[in-house]
Amino acid sequence: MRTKKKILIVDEDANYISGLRKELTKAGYEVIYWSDGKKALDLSNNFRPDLIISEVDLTTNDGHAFFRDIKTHSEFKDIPFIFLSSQKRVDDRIKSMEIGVDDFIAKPFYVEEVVARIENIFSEIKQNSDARITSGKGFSGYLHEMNLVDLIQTLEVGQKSAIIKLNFNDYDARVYVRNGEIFDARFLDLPANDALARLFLWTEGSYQVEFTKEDFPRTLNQPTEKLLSEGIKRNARWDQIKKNLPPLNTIVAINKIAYEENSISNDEKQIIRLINKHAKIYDIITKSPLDDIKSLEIVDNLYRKGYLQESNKNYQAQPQNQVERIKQNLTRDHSENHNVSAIISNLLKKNSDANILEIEKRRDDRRQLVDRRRYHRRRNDIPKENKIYLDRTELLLIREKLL
Amino acid sequence: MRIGEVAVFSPPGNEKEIFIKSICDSIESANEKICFGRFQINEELSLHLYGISVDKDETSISWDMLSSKILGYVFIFRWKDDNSLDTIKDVLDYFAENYTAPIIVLASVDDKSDIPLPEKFYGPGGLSIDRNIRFHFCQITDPVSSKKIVVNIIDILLENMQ
Repeated sequence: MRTKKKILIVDEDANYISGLRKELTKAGYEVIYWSDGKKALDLSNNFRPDLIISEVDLTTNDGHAFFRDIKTHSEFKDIPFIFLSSQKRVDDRIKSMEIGVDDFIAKPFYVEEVVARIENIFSEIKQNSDARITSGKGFSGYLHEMNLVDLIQTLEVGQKSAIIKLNFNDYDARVYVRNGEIFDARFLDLPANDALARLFLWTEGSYQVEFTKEDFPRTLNQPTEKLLSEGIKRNARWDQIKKNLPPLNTIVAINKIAYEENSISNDEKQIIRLINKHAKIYDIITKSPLDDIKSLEIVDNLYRKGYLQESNKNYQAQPQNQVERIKQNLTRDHSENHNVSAIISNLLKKNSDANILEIEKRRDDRRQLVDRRRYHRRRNDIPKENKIYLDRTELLLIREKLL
Repeated sequence: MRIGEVAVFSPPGNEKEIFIKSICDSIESANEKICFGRFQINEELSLHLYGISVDKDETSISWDMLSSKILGYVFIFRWKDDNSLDTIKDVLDYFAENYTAPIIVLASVDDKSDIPLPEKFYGPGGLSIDRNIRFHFCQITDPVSSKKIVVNIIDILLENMQ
């Protein structure tokens, strides 16, 4: 029988929390409520929660202190922690995220949303632990540390039999190895050869190798050495094209303004059709009926022509490299702080070793900026919606005339 | 006459005039702080570009006057001059915070070979900092490069209309 997950809620306002308690109980959780932040740690020792929700502003012991206490306790350090707060300041949220809470929920909240977020956290934990679980007869890890070619080479050397389970984003795949020889590969509904070719290109995600004596049919008849050599070649070509593109989990969109249907090839059209408003590059490649490398080449080509562009939806995507990380952090800064100059300054920062005087100067500037913003906010709380004075036809006329 | 306006901000210097001139061919009127150029589309439609100098402590310009027919804002700074971004940054932040029309932050370069980021990285539509804010490198002396900036403002407006 499934054990009920336990949730500890720490908040001084019992009435406010009662709806959430009821809803969580209804959703199958065992909920315990406590109003005193200081005693909550002792309670955690007895109750052993699977997740903690705490108000940030507790009079007895502030939420941050409670969080620190919990995280320094070796038994609780991995327990997911959610902050509740009626403070809406972006700084508070950032501070909470920086110290490592799993989520921050602003009051007032929708109870259903909180329940959904909690369920997401639990499901993420489960997925992570599933990926790490080994049967005791194998090993697991990440594909960026050891890709499929490396894994198979390892099994080949040891003449081992195993099932390699691969996971990337929402995609699962399997490769069957018998005595160091690749017998079969399964991914989506692809033929084994195509599936293997595609899986050789996975450089992100996780793997789990399960040694087995299970018998499975052989669908791949080429020698493993040949398959591996092909895989290495494909990896090299893939990496070469990938260099020209943003990270593959970048969401791209069709640039409708630049796009000229008449000037693109049939293969390009096939790729364009796969993008319904927005799509991750990797999803486009995966769904493409063409070979992966061919598909990536086409995406690269469309990107170079300006027919594809990065979508604004990328703000939710995970950063993949330094430049992308900077860009996304800066984007987040902007959407929450509107400090565009900081974004641009950071983006264009030419010397990473700024001296102390410069840092002091920036601090002063920031202080002045904050004062000035406060003034502006007092003067006008609501951003001005610029109504577009001209209509679409007029805008298109200007555009045409400028080009 | 239907008019669309673009406000072009730059630190003290002649960047705004150069930028507007490369789009409109001529500056129709100018004083120490403001210059004006007109790009006639047809008999009934015209694009007006206002160039405005921004000093570091500038707070006195009546921005709202520009906002009734505004299409977007261009903020120019000199890529190789570390202080020039500093000069415009407060006004830039103010606009980003208070207005929703597209903003293009334009790093003025003399030569496209100076551009440190490959164009592929920031793309033909500029580097997207926010839904309505893009970052571009531009040779303001080159009409093609300057006009592309205004085209980008229009593209953002068209995208938002979709």
